[in-house]
Parts: sequence; structure tokens; C-alpha cells
Amino acid sequence: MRHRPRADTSIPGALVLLAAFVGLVFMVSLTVGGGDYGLRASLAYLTGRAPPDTAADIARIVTTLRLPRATAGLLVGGALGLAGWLLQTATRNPLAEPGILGINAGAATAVVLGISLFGLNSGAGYLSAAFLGAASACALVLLLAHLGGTVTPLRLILAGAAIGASLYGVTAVMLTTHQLAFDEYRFWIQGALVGASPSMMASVLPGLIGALAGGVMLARPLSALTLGDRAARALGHRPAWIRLAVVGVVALASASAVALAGPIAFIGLLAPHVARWLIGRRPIAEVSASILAGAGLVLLADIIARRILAPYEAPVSAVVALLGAPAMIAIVRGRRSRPCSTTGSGF
Amino acid sequence: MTLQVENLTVEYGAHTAVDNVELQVAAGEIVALVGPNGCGKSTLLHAIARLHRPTAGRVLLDDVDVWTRRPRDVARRIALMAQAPEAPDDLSVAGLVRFGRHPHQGLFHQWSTADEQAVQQALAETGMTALAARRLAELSGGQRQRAWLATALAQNTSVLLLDEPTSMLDPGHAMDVLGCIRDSAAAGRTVIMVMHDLNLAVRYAHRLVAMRRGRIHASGKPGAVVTPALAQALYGIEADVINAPRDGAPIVVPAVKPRAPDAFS
Amino acid sequence: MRARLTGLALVVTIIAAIPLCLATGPGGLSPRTALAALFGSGDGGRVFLVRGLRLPRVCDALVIGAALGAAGCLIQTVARNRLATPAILGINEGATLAVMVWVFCVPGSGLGPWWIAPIGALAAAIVLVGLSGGIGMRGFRVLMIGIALSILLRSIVDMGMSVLAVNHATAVYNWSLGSLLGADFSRLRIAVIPVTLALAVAVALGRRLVLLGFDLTTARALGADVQRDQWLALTVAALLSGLAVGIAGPVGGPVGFVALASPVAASHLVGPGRVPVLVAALIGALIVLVADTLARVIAAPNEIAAGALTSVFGGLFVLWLLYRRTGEIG
Repeated sequence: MRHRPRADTSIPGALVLLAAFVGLVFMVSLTVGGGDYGLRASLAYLTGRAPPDTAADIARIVTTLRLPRATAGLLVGGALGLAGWLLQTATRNPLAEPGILGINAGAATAVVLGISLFGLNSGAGYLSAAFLGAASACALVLLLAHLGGTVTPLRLILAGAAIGASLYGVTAVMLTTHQLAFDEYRFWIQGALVGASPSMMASVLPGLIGALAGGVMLARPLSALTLGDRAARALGHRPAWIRLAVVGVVALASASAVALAGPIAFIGLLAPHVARWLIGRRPIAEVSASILAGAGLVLLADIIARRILAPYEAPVSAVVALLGAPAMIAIVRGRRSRPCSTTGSGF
Repeated sequence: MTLQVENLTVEYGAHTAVDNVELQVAAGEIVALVGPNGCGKSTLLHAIARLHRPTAGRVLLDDVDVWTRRPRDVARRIALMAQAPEAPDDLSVAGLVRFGRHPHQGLFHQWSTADEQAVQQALAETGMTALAARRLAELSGGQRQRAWLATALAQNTSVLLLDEPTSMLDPGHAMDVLGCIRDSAAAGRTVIMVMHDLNLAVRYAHRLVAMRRGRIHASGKPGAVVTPALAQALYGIEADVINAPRDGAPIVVPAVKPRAPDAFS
Repeated sequence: MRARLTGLALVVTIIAAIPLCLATGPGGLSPRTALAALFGSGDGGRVFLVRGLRLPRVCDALVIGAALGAAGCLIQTVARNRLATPAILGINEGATLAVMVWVFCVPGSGLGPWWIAPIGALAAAIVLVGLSGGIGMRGFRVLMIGIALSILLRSIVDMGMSVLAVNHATAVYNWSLGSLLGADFSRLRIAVIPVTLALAVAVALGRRLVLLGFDLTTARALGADVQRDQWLALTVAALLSGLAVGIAGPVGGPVGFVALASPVAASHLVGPGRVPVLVAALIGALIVLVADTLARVIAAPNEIAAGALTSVFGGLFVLWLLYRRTGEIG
């Protein structure tokens, strides 16, 4: 843990590097995948040196297929990185994240219920259903973990796993009884960035920007909260309001991610760890790094998903889990039951 | 029935917890193991009960090495009351004491009248008969300790090992428990108990074995072993040893030194 | 005594429930006519409905439920946590993955032989203990790593699913939801022997595992070979849940409701200080029997996978446990 003076407002070099890395992965993401144009042709197009006979064709593929997909990856990853950081900091649990805590499942179930019971078919409809579901699941899991006094990391994780599994069951019941919803759901649930249309992204964008702004604003008060409620109150914060705001922002971020690409677990787990590893304890830089790391990870996973089982495409969520589950095991093995201490002295 | 500990050495990695210990205890004898924290008393007790494999030496019970027997067979001969034991939730006193019969039961061996008798006797010996139906959580510290003692007695073993049987108890309850222990020794059991309270140990044990850094520092009749030099060697305290007005048993009275200026900084 | 009475009452309940379950569903049977058809009287259609379609489901449900209930009881005792189940620890996912690998490697042989799922379950259990660095007397690590392992294995299954030919994928997917629809005696007939053997071992183990409720020192002082008993219990539990999964997919639901609730209910019924493997097995059998019957009628004319239904109950049950009991779940 690094000790930094309070007045340090400079942008850490690591953050700049991370942003550059995300930009790089974004560009690479435009050069791989569907269509007959591989890395070289795509690069030629992007740098304006493509042969004129294929330029139009490449342009079509890049702008209509790959660009929306990469943008969706950016948004989804950023949202999950934010939600993960907020949850880990608020619960002081290094394993907290929207996937493991069942919040993504809450959003997904609400969307499925919306499709099959109320015939939802608009992006805004998806998003509002997802938000309601995510907010309820998030509030429920935090509430349950707090009941009975002490919140052990295990209690929180188990509450989340239980909520997630129960909602999974609800989803399965709805899908087996409503044939219509099944096909649409099937690919979406596996976390596909392909399905994210520009109109969908447009409807999600305002909420997502709100969540990002809220998250960055919450970073400092939330860090104060990790000193304990009494200390936070002495510093002029209101713990109950901060927690409520966390639930709101987490729900908004997860809901946006789920509405765009279905539930993807583990990004919210990995991104904050990457951020802490790169930045150390500085709330605002850390949350920004977590957002960037989430975006980078999703883009990277999406690239892998397109290549790993070629000519098939693997579900992004499965690729992420393949990377994330070993990380979770490493975290459990490394830290044992020690909760993640976020009472850093770097601010 | 004798218990023989021969050249016993127990190591945890590089740390030698018990270092070349020799000990013989006869039937009906009560031995109190004393010494500072971490001197190897509990480890010695565990090694005797076949819970910790020694690096060298043997523990012989009736001339048979305990490590040649199966755990269940040893549990029929040696009972150990652990320090701060934990029981399954919501268990009653009688339910706990019945577990003492566990080593005596096989796969198809059902609860017998002999088992029931052993349980009733153990409850009676510890004065817990009236409390048999109570849940453990409802008992006082002294009662709970007696319930655990009853469990060990119900095992009906020739050797009884006790790890700090009185450490959590007030003097009245401690003497209750020690009285039960003395009675069971009088009935022919071999007893080894780890004690912290030298004054109580002296009063109930036939022999005192003082350990320091894994070795036996002194051993013998309490009156002969307990000296100011022993208190200094074991605990690093200055103490006077006086004789009790009633029975002449030695009493260790620590001298309270004026507090050094930086003692707690 | 209390345990025996409870067991007897459960057996009577199950026997009484069987005619009801045989009668439930389309066909307009009463329990009496269903029972008559079971013994061969009545018209041919009815006899086929009861003997050919519903009886295999009832038998499957009983065997699967008993296996899951016993497995849950063993695992909860070993992990010392009321929420530990073969599903949460990734053992069921290991079984599912093994079945999928078989479908991959030996195309056109259906879902593979009966022993493939238990082997997958056992492998997952071994990996789990290896990753956790031993079982230990506190279930914390095993549980956390089990959750991660189950997600990892599920993601591999998902990836495989996206590559499998569509008809195979559908077969594996439907199977992975855990449904008794279309059950017949072919798989059950072979699996029932190992299930019975494993159940017998589990019941015998229950007597010894009681000592795991004590602290380590006391358990060993009372003659328990703690490490060996833990390994034995975990192995038998993995075999049982693997066999159950192999018969009809994860009917216990992804959270393992059957394996979760049966031991908890059994402990309440028989009282403290026991590991009620047999009673848990009976309760498990009853739960799956009821769940499968409910799944048949709850959304008629559609049929829900029993596993989907049990997972809904399972989540609610966990929430209730979290709400009520603080001591037993860390």
C-alpha cells in the first residue's frame, strides 16, 4: 500500500497506460472476427490504405458489425468494472461483484419476465426491467447479508449464490413455459456482444453515463465508509444515504450491462483487483482504473471468444469465467478469510 | 496398568515441542503437568493420546505402543478432555455423555445396557444426573466442564488425560471438578492433567511434573518440587513458598514488584 | 428411537404418496384406478400410462432423491456448513461436464454409460480438495473455492454447448435442466445397484461422522480417524450425486435444493448430535417425488423441468436459512 500526500491530484501514469491499452485492444477488436478480412486488410483500411475495390466492403463490415460490437464491449466492461469496484469497496469483500452476488441474474430474470409476461420488445423496456431486477437483487443481497449482525464474506457470497440460483430457476420456468422467449433469450443469456444494436446502446447510454458520474462521485465518501460508520459520520458523511446511492448506481450499471449483453460474471471481480494492483489506494484514480480495466477485459475476452473455437464463436461470458474463476480461487487461497481492507491511508 | 513414555520427542517442522521426555505413571496416580505457555504440556498430552505422531520415542500402555493400535482401540483405553472443547449444536448433557460410549460401539453394535450403565455412572460421579436433560448451552461454565468430564469418564478408560480442566472456572467450581477427578483416580484410573494454577495442582496431584521448553524441568512430590527457584525457572517470577496452615501443602505467593516505568509501553 | 419413528413415518408417507403421484396429470385417473392399473387391471391405455410412463418417473424420482439427500447430508457434515451441497461445490457440474465430453468424443451414443457422470463428479471433488489444500475442519475455503469451481466448469460446459451440433446441444441442455420427462427403466435398472451400495456405505458412515460435530481434538480422542472419514464421506457423496445426475440430470436444481433441504429437515426431525443419512435420503426421495409431480401439473399443458422448480425453492430456502440461522453457515 502506497502512502501518498492528500493533495496529490496528478493523474497516475498507470492510469494513462491503462487507457492506452484499452484503446489498443479496441483497435484490435475492430480487426478480428466475422467477414473475410483479417488483421492485415483491416489494418490497411483503418489506416486509409486499403485497395479501393475492397474498401467499401471492409467499411461495411467494420462499421456495421465490428464497431458496434467493440463499443458494446467498452460500455459493458466499464459498467461492470464500476459495479464491481463499488460492491467490493462497500462490502469490504474482495469477491463481491454483480455476477457472484446474483445482481446480474436479477436483471436477466426481470428482462425474461418482461419479455414473456408483458411482451417487452424495446431497448428502454429491457433497460427499465433490468434496472428494477438488479436493484431488487442488490438490495436484497445486501440486506440479507446484514441480517444477523456480522457480515462474513462467506455469508455475502452464499446469499448471492442463492439468489442467483433461485432466479436462474425462475428464468428456466419462464423459458420452458413461454416458447417465444426461448430463442431470443438463449444466445443473449450467454453474454453475447453481437446482439447489441446501436439503438440499444443509445437507449442505455444516458443511464450508463449517469452511473459512471455517480460512481466517481461516490468513490470518496465510500472510501470514508470503510473506516466504519461512526468515523464516516464524524467526517460529515451519511452512511445510509451512501449505501442507498451505491445500490442505485450498482443496479444502473449492472442493468445497462445486462441489457446490452446478458449477464457476464467475473469482470466486476477482476477489474477492481487489476485497478488496486496498478494504482494503489486512491479512490478516484482507482475507480477510473477499474472502469478502464473492465472495458479492456471484456474487449480482450471478446477477441478470444471469436478466435478460441473458430470457426465457432464461444460465449463471451464463458471466456470471462474461464479467466475469472481461477482468479477467484487464487484470491480465496491467497487471502483466506481476511476481508479486503479498503481502509487505505492514501487519501 | 502403567503408562510409560519413553524418550518421547515431538516436532512441528523445525520447532521441537516435546524434547526427549521420560515419564511413568501408575494406576491410581494423579500427575499434574505444569509449566509456562508453549512449554509442550498439551503436545505431550496429545502425543500420549495418539493424536500427534512423535518423531522419536514411544508411548506404552500395558507394554503396547499406542501407535500399533487403531484410533478406536486407543480411545477405549485413553480418554482425553480437550481444552475448550466444542460439541454439536443443541446437544443435551446426556446426549454429550453418550458420545463417550462411541469408541465402544461398532458398526452393528447397538446401544446396550452396559453403555447405559456407564453413562449413568459417569453422570452420577460428576453430580450431573439431575442436569442430564439440560442443553449444554444452558449450563454454567463449571457444569459444562463437569459434563465434558462425565463424557471422558463414560469412555471407561484406564487412562484419563485432562487439558486444563479448571482454567475457566472459579475456585469453587474448580475444586468440584478436581474432586471428581480425584475420586476417579481413587477408583484405579491413571490421571495426567495440565494445570496452570500451581496451588490447586499441588493440592490434588500426587506428583508434579514441571516442563520447560519441551523438557521435564523437575518432577516429584509437590512438597519437594515447589520452591521459589521453580517459580523463577518456569514463569520468571519472584515468589515465596509458604505452607498452608491446615495441611502444610506449599503455596506459591508471587512477590508483586513495583511497576517498571516502561512495563507496558 | 426418534430417528426410527421418523424414518417409519417417512416410509409410510412415501408409500401413500406414490398412488397420488401415479394418478396426477392428464388421463383423469383417481389414485384407486391408478393403483389398479399399476397391478394390470383396467384398459390397456391406462395400464401403459401408469406402468410405462409414470412408474419409471416415480422410481427415478425416489432413487435420485434418496441419493441426493444422502449426499447432501454427508457433504454438509464434512464441510460443517448447512449450505454446502454437491451443486454449490461444483460436483454436479463435474458430472455434467463428463457427460458432455462423452457426447463429444463418442458421437451418436446418447448421453453415455451410467458410470461417466459419477466419474466426473469424483474428479471434480478431488480437484476441489486439491485446490483447497485439504478439507480442514472449517468449511470456508472449500465452499468458496467450490463456488468458483462450479462457475468454471459451467463455463466450460457452456462453451462446449455452443460448439455441439444443434440436436446434441438440445439434448444436453434439456438434460442439464434436470427433468424426469421421458424417464424409462433403462438407465435406472443399471444405476440402482451402485446407488444402493453407496447408500448403504453412507448410512454406515453416518454413525462415525457424528464425531465431526466436535472440535478436532475431541473427535480424535473419541476414536475418529477424521481425515479418512472426511475423504470417505466426500467420495461417497460425489458418487451418489454423480449417479443421481447421471440418471436424469441435475434434478436437485443448480443450488441443489434436495441435497440442501433434506439434511436440514432431517436434523430437525431426529434431534441434535446425529448425522441422519437415512432420514435425509427418505426426505430427499419425497421431495423429488413431489417436485416432479408438481412440475407435471403446475403449468399444464406445458411441463417444467423438475430441476428448474427445485432451484426456485432452493434459493428461497437458502435465504430463509441465512435469515434464521447464523451459527451454522459461517
